[in-house]
Amino acid sequence: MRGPARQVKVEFLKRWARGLQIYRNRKKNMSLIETKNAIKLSADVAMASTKLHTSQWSRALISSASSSNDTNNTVVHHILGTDKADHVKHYSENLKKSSSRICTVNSKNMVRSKKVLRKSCALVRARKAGVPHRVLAATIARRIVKRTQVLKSLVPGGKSMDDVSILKEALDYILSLQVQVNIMRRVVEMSELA
Amino acid sequence: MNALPDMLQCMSTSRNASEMSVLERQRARIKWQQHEQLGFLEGNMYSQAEALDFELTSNDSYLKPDPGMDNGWPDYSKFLDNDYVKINSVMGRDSFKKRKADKALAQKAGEAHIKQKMSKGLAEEGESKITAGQRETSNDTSKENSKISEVQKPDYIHVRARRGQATDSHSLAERVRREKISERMKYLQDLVPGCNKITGKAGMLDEIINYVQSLQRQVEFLSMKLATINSRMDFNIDNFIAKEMFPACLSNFTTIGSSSELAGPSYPQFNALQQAVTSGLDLGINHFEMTHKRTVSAPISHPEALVDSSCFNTIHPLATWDAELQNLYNAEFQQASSTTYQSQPYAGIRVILPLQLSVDFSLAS
Repeated sequence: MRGPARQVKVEFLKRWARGLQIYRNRKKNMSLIETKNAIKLSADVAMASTKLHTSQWSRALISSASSSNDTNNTVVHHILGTDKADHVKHYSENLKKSSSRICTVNSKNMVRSKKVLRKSCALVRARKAGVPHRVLAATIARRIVKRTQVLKSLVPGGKSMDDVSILKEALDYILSLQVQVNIMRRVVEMSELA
Repeated sequence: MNALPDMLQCMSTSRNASEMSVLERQRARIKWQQHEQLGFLEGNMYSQAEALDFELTSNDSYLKPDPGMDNGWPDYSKFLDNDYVKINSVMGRDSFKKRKADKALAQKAGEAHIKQKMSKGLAEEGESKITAGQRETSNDTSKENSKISEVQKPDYIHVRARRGQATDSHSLAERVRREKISERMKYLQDLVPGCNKITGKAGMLDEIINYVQSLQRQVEFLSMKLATINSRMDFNIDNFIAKEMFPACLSNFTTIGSSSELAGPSYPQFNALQQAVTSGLDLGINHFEMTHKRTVSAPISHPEALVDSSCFNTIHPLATWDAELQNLYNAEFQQASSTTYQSQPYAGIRVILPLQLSVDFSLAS
């Protein structure tokens, strides 16, 4: 179990170093926030690029990162290599299409969810008064739906996933975030010590 | 006088003989037909038609083919009924399972129905069509069965409706989906610290959301810290090179960094400011370590819990600690020779760092 995880770590470090190098060569005077954003973005993209073939969240993250800014785009290209970046661009176009579709769906859902909210508040009030078990189950189910929506907003690209795949992607995302946090912490400690 | 009755008798006998011969021939034929009917149940319609013809021609033989008819008809009807029942049972068994197959099957069954009705109504129409129809229907049912078994094979392996559970396709699909979700929730429960005690999906989702948010905040915070430590990012690269040159030093650095109450006093070259920074960091690191210890204590440990050897190293014997410390010293000197000049310009930044740490942690926790 130690082997592949270590390989992922080394890969992540190499890619992150590549991304940071671009920033170092490109800009000499950056503000603190800019530096922080650059470090964070390069780390995120490096982590996502290690999991590019196995997960959806990484592709969503990279596509959103490359579409936001020009320098970010070059960073993404440099970290991934051009062919992969093009591949991801295709994906991002698909994602935009699907997300626009989802936006329309969401706008419909928004109206409904207000109603649901009002209803659920009514249900909570009713629960205090002592209501049969069936109604409580309904409120719990609604809570679960809400939590799932929050989780979808947290995982990159999660808005276009269904309930089963969002859990899988969340698993993958949590694992890679743990790796990322681990390595970044080590780097911080090393630079603290030196 | 004698001759005439003789003649008549002869004639009558001859006529009788001829009649008898005809009757006997017909009886033999009927017997043969009966044998045939008993032998080949499917081929009885033709012989029955002939028997009906014979009925019309001779009255004596009426009694003879009747048992044959009795044998033939009930057998045939039984056969039909059996087939019908079979088809019905197939329909009944499969109508719950797959809609598509069910539709096709219903069509075929309907066709078979019509054919049976036709065969019952027009019995003398000849057996060939009916047997062909029966063969068709039997082929169809067998084909349908094979198709259904092919379609349902994966479902049968994974999903099995228990007693009292619904068996229509929607319920089965929903059950599969729920099982998948619960399986993944179980994995997430193992992965996310502090999720073991919580029962119920809503609470678990809460924990997962909190954990993802905390991890994202940690990334944010760590990148902020890196940005404050080295604003030009060349320091990172040096570290990466050092790490790639000495991969063994990586774990040593982390163990000592995470347990800096041991490592802190052993560094005479550290000034008080840096110690303050590391102690300020310790809050955060201890927080992380606690989460990681919790993941280790989880029944199924993920690879990161194993690779993250911070908990493991605290149990290390002292001898290995000494060796690791020596390694660290070597690495430290190598890096210190290259980076001593860098510590002075960052002194100003490091004063700010604990403040930001405290702010960040009040946000995070």
